[in-house]
Order: sequence, then C-alpha cells, then structure tokens
Amino acid sequence: MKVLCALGAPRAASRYLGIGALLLASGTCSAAGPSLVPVSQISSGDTAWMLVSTALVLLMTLPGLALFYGSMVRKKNVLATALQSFAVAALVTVLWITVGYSLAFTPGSPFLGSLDRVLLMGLTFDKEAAMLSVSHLAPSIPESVFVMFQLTFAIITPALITGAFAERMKFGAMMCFVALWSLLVYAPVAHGVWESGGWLAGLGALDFAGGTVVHINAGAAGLMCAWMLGPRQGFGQEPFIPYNLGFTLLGASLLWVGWFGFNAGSAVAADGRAGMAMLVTQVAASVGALTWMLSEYIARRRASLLGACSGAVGGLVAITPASGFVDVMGAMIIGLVAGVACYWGATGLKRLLRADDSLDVFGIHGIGGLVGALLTGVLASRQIGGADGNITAQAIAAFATLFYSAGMSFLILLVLRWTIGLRVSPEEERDGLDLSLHGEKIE
Amino acid sequence: MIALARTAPMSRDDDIQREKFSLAAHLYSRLRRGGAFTIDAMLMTRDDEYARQVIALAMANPDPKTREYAVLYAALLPAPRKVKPAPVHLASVSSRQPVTPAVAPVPAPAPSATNVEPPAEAPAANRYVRSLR
Repeated sequence: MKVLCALGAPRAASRYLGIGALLLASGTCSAAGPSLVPVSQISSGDTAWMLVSTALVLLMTLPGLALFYGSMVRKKNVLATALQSFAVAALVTVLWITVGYSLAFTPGSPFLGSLDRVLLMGLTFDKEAAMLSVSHLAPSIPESVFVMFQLTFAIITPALITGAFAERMKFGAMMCFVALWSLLVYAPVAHGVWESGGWLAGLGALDFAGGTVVHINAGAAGLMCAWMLGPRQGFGQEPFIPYNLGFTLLGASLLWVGWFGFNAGSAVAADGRAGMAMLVTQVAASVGALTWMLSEYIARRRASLLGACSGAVGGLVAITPASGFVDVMGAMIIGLVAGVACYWGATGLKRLLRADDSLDVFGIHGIGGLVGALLTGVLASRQIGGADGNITAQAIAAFATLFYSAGMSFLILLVLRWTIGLRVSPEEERDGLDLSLHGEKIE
Repeated sequence: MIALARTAPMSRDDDIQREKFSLAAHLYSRLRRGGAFTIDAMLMTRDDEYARQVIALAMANPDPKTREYAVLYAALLPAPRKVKPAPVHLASVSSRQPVTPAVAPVPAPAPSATNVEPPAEAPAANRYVRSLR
C-alpha cells in the first residue's frame, strides 16, 4: 500500500496541488509515510530544481536575514544580531535531523507526527540496489532532498523571531527558546498544516509555502517575545539609529531572490505551477514595495529605502500561502493589500500594541501572513491550484496558529525567565551585546 | 579641564578640542547615568551639528549639572547660521570664559527623564524614535 501510494496517487496529487494542498487528494493514503522506491521513480528535473530551491531558501537566512536584521540595529548590536541567525541555523539543523523532521513530516496523530524518523533512521539511499526512500509528500525527489528543503524552512522561521527581541535577549536564553520553540511550536504547526493527516489540513486550509506555518507562526511568537522581554532601554525616548541601511537593501534583495526557492520550490516539482508561483511572487513583491512607498509618501511626503525593502518583504510574505493558488491579478491584489496593511502594522498597529517589537516581526510577518492566508481563501483559483479557497478554513488555520504560537511562546518564555532569565543586565544592554556578550566589536 | 602633560606647544584650537572632549565625556556619563542616553563623545567633538543635538537633549534634562555642562559646551561652538544666540543665566556656574551659547536652551526642563521628547530642532533625530519604519 505504501509503495502503491508513493508511486501513484500522491505523486499526481503533489504535482497538482503542491505540499500545502496534497492532503486534499490523499485521503486514502493518509496513513502512508515515507517509503522505499526504485531510483527510476525519481525525477531528475524535479530533484535538480529542489536542490537549487533548498540552497535559495538557506540563502535567505545565511546571509540574507542576518544582513537584513544586523543592519537595522544599532552599531553596538550588529554582530550579536547577525550571529543569532547564524546560530539558529546550526541549532535547528541538529534538532531537525534528530527529531524535528520526524515530528513534522511523518504520519501520526492530527497534531504531531511519529518518531519513525528520529535521527533520520530509515532514510535510505542504496546505490547498489538502486533504491532510495522518498517522502509521501514528495515522491518524485529523494527524501534527503525533502528533508533538507524543509529544514531550511524550519531554520528561517525561528530566525525571523529574533528580530522581535533584538538588542536585549541573552544569547543562551535565545538558544534555549529557539530549541524548545522549534520542537513544541514549529513541528506541530507544520504537521497540522502540511502533513496529510494534519488537523488544519483536514479542514481544507491552504498554505502553499508557509504563510501560516512560517510567517503567522513567527509573527505571533515575535510579538509575545517583545511583550515578555519588555522594551529596550531608551525606547521611545531616544533614536535607535540603524547601523547601515545599505546592508538592509542587500539583505532584502537576498530575501527577495531566495523567496523564489521558498515559493516556487514548494511546488516540489520543476513544472508550470512552479513557474506560476515564481511569477506571482515577483509581482506581489513589486506591488508591495510600490504600495508601501506610496503609503509612506502620502503619510510623510517621502519614500524611503527601508520602506521599499519592507514593502517588498510584506508582499513576499503575503503571497507565500497563495503562491501556488492565485493568478497574476490575484498576486497584484495581495501585494496591494499587503503593502498598506504591513505599513500600518509596522507603524500604527505597533503604537497600539505598545510592544517594542524591535524589527517589526509581527507588523510585517504576522500581518502579512494574515493578509495572505485570508486572501488565499478569497482569490485561490481552481484552474491554478486545483482547489477553491475557503475563507472560513483559512481564518481558522490562521488564527489557531496565531494563538497557539503566542500561547506556547508565552509558556516557554515564562519557564526560561524563571530558570535562566531572559534579558541581559542593564549595563550589558548599554554597552551593547556585541561587546558584552560576545567580546567583539565593529569599529 | 583635564591636566595632561604637554610635549609640544599647543594652539588655541587644540585647547578648545581638549575642552570639548572633556565636557563631552562629562555629558556622556551624566546622560547615561541619569537619562539612559548614550552619546558619542568623540563624534561630538568632531561634528558640531551632532553636538548641538546633544546639547539640546542635555538642556532638557532635569539635572542642573548636566545643563551646566551643556551650556559650557555650547559656548565653545561657532554660532549657527540664522540663529540668534540667546543669553543664558548661569547662577551656579563658575565659568572661566564668557558664555554665549550657540544653541538656544530649551525653555523648561522636562518633568522627568522618561518623557523627554526629542529636540524639536532635530527632525532627523526624531526619525528613529519609537519606530524604525
């Protein structure tokens, strides 16, 4: 049965619907997990594209996000902030191969996977026998590639959160938080949305490339971190001059380009749907950047570089869940709404929330993710993705993820506050984390 | 103010630079301790515009000693363009030179260091207060 599923229905389904919607067509195979198949089943074209996509998505974090975030903090915290992304990449990699992948992408309960792939046991490549293992979610590529591709998503999600608590969190506390969050929040949410038997997948929620799993998830956790850690010293009283907005442009550009792997790679195939996903990604990013700049010009009579970068990222975030489901017109609408909504999220809403979300993780990823998730329910086209949108299912998935992520993050942070503490001392914060935590400095 | 061994005859400009740095260092420690502000003392001695912004910030500080250092520093700055210097009453300052600050002091100190508004004459500095974007 497993082999039959791997060879038949899921392959067709994955090509038709993408990972995010595979479950819609795989009800009969919901219990099937990774399986061993002949090498001849593997598509070299799909595999080549997924290898490239994996590298592109990793490029978003290293060095994209490290540059993007590191350049927006004050000079005394640049190295510490960039290091957070780098360290998260290393930490999550180890956790992912140890247990994260198994919890997220093997059949189990509707809320969590099994332990069948702990330490990637069972992941096989036997050259002599010409057999290898594939995931039931991506039967045309080796499971090793699928593990790596999904790992890059697992890396960037907690790395995004680090922007919310920048310039004030202990390095050790940050590492503990990310470790616990990856296993207790990311893995269950990824399983619930992307695994065939996941509970949100069963509702019919569409999330092509991670608008809910990555962006709403990270945004909600970021907001909770900002609240729990409290504002930075001098917040609201003195200007926090960003270190170098030139590097911000560089980081944002790497994110933009890497996003092609993120969205088009989520088709798990080198096909027309991947091409559409890439096209709508470019359109939404561009419209998002233009809309943010226009909003900024109307509100402040100027358009800024940081605004253009932020608008592009907002558009990219919002198109993420929709990228395999909408046409070009849909992408323009999503980019337009995201540009305005994320601008409000990073300015007006930020003031309302009264949280020092240092680099606007919630304002851009949380709000952009919500916009994308909800509009996917409105704009999804059966012609493009093989499924119609359902705004109710989208709203349930989006808000369930928002509240679960925020609640679990709160509990994790509470435990860490009681044990090792969350914040650096006031003296360390004044001196800057580069010097006080890492003994390094930019001159 | 700082006694340093002189190895070569020093010009009046050198003296002013030393005096500026000394006052900037005092302002650095006062603002950091009392208002949780961190300023760049070296930049202050090099960049008069930056120094004026720091002075405006210091003048809004409730601590009289901080304002005193700000007034002394302002006296060392060249007069800004199109700004008429305003005399400052220095009841408790024992200055060694006539004081005519280049920057008009803020009329009334803020009630506390926690609700000090950024200086109105420095819109660029307002740019990154509370919000990055």
